[in-house]
Amino acid sequence: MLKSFVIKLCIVIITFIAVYLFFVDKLAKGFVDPHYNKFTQEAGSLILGLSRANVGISPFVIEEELKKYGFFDKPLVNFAFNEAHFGEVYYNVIKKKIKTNNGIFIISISPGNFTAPSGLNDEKVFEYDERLTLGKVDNVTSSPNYNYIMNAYGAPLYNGLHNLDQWNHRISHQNGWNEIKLKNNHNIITDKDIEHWKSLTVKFYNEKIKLEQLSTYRYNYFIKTIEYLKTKGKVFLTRMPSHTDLLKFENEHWGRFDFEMDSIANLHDIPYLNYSKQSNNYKTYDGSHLESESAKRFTKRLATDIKTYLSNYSE
Amino acid sequence: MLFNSFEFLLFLPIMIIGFYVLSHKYRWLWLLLGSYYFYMAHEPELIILLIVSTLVDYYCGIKMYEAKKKSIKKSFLALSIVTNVGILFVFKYLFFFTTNIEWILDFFGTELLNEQEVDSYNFNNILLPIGISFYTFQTMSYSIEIYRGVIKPERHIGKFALYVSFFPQLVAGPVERASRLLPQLKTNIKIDINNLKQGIIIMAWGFFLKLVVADRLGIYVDEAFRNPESPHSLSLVLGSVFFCFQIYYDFSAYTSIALGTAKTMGYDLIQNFNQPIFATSIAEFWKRWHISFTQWLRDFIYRPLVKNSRMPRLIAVSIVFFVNGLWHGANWTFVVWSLLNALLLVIEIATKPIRYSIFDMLKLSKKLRELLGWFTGICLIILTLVFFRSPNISHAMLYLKNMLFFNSSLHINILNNYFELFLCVFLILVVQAIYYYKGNSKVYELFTERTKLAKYSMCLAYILIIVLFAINRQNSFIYFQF
Repeated sequence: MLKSFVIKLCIVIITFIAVYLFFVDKLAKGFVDPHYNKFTQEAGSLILGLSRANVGISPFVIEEELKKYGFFDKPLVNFAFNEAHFGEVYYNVIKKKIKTNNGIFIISISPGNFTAPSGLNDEKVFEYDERLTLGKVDNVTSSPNYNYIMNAYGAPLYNGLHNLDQWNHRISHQNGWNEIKLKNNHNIITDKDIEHWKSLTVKFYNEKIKLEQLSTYRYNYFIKTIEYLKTKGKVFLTRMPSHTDLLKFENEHWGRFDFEMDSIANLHDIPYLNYSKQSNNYKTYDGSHLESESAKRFTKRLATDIKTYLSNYSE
Repeated sequence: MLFNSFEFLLFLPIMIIGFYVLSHKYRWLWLLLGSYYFYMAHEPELIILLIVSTLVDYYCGIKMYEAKKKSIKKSFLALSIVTNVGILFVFKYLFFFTTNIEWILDFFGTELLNEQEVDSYNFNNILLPIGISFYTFQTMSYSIEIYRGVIKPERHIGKFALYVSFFPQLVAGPVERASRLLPQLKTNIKIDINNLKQGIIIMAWGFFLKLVVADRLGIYVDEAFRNPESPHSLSLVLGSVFFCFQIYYDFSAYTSIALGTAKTMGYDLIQNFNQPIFATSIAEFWKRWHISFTQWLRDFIYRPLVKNSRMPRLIAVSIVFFVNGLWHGANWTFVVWSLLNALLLVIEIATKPIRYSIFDMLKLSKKLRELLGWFTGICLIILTLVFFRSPNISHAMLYLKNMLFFNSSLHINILNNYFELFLCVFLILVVQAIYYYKGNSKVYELFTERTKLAKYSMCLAYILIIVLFAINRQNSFIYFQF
């Protein structure tokens, strides 16, 4: 009787594992989530930073503009997203991701890259980061990436039964860029929507500043990341355009941000491309993040400046 | 170690196999080592508190039993209580206590500590040991029952340590009495397929409740409580209703997994719930909710206050609910939540004759009275739970204000995923229907009283539901924080 029970139990467990793996595989073959594509290939070059870079820098435009420099044997991947703060976790993942020694690395920075929850020491910030997506995923280069789905995918697997992103204004490209279009076949994000979302972003910033503080741990790992990336290719620091209200907010809380970043860039002999003062030339969909057309125009401008730097550098 | 973690899925079979392979003589040691490992998987250094609590209560228990004079008995009881309450105070309430003292002194313009001193006494960094409120209350019940002569002390220190730390109920209860659990731990349990089957089914139910229902509701609850100033009242109403079910299912899930785990090894733990959602009054709700703990409060605080100290019931009820609130967490929100329940209870008792005379006048049937009682009771419980879920009182007040002053917007502006929203409501109805017909203690019968074909179909359906609909976030159980 015990033997029969154990056999039945084993059958149930095996069936469970088989059904689970079947649906994990099914999900992996379709749309998983907006970040999944960032974890499915090795990279020669990277776009790093938070959500502004995630939606605002298009690898397509940069590849097109800089193709003559031969940086892209392995692809340029947009590896920026809202949980990617500087720290040991992000640093180690970047190391796993890069597979060549001749890449370009665009690091998008804003004060937000350097904050951590208040009251945490270095060890606790590390533990905090480990609980986020980057800390949960061991494999960042496989396609399909089952490791990502099993450890970091937080939604139910029934999503594998359809192949849709729930927010149909977003296109998640294979190279990790999440393009946000104001218009799709069904509706348009109006200026009124944008104004409302901007007010929510400002509110979010105001709430966040109460709970977070600037962290020397993140600052130190920012330097460490630059030093490492310099051994793997050319590094560019950039501050992206955003709505002036938000930039004002950031500058109020870190008045010498641009000066300090410029100093770090000089110290490491890398350029700091600051576009924050040209924010009026670009449009965001929520005050912080560039919509598709602005993202393309901005990336083109960024690529042109990188090209100029590289031409001067090679001379 | 979380019940809903991969580590636990490996740990449990090893514990069960080891338990049945070993002879009865060594099982206590196996379970004790396993329980300590289970506890240490979270914060290893905090095991010392569990051991201190165990040793002090073991010693006090024997000394109390052996003492001839009542005064000596009393002093050992005091030692036990002071140790346990002291551990609780330092590790759970010290920061809360000091900030409140500081606030009061600030209010009167006195500075207790300067800024440098405040930094050096940073009580906020004290780690809250997991399960501390559960095991300290459990061991205190042991000491008090020996003092009262209800039970004899356990002489075997290993078995006593196991009673304090038995891993299925260590971190979030049920709060077991020594008179129930210790005799079971001493019994030589033979392997029984029915125990294994029943245990696995009860656990499976718990996993379903946690992964598919409670964590799904939690997504909406988190979103609603993140925006208490939302202009969409209906979203806030939904958030608070869902929270009532989330906390019930989350805690009930933990209890089911605890009960199921213990059952696989032949042990029966106390049922912690008896369909609280169907309670037809506030008083009844508290008799059906977190039973092991409410019985603890009744036996060790309420009754002594009323019987021995002859305290008026109203004050005794307030004290009990104050302790209940504080037990849940070092935050005034829990105290307010609990005291509001006390207030409702008192009003309910005080207005009983008037309500009954109105019912009689209106000639309402018993069913209709119960329905009315259920509806008002559950609405009030849901309202008070807003304090439980909010991070502070002002947040709760803002939430309630925006929820109750209905605006014209009937738009449910949470996450805009209507399929998931529908699924949440559907799952609540399904779970409540099952609880209505089977009760909390007989859910396993759903899988056992069937033909073979029905059993296999249900098993496959269960697998599909868990795989497809579980929320894979490894959220810890809400009651872990207490």
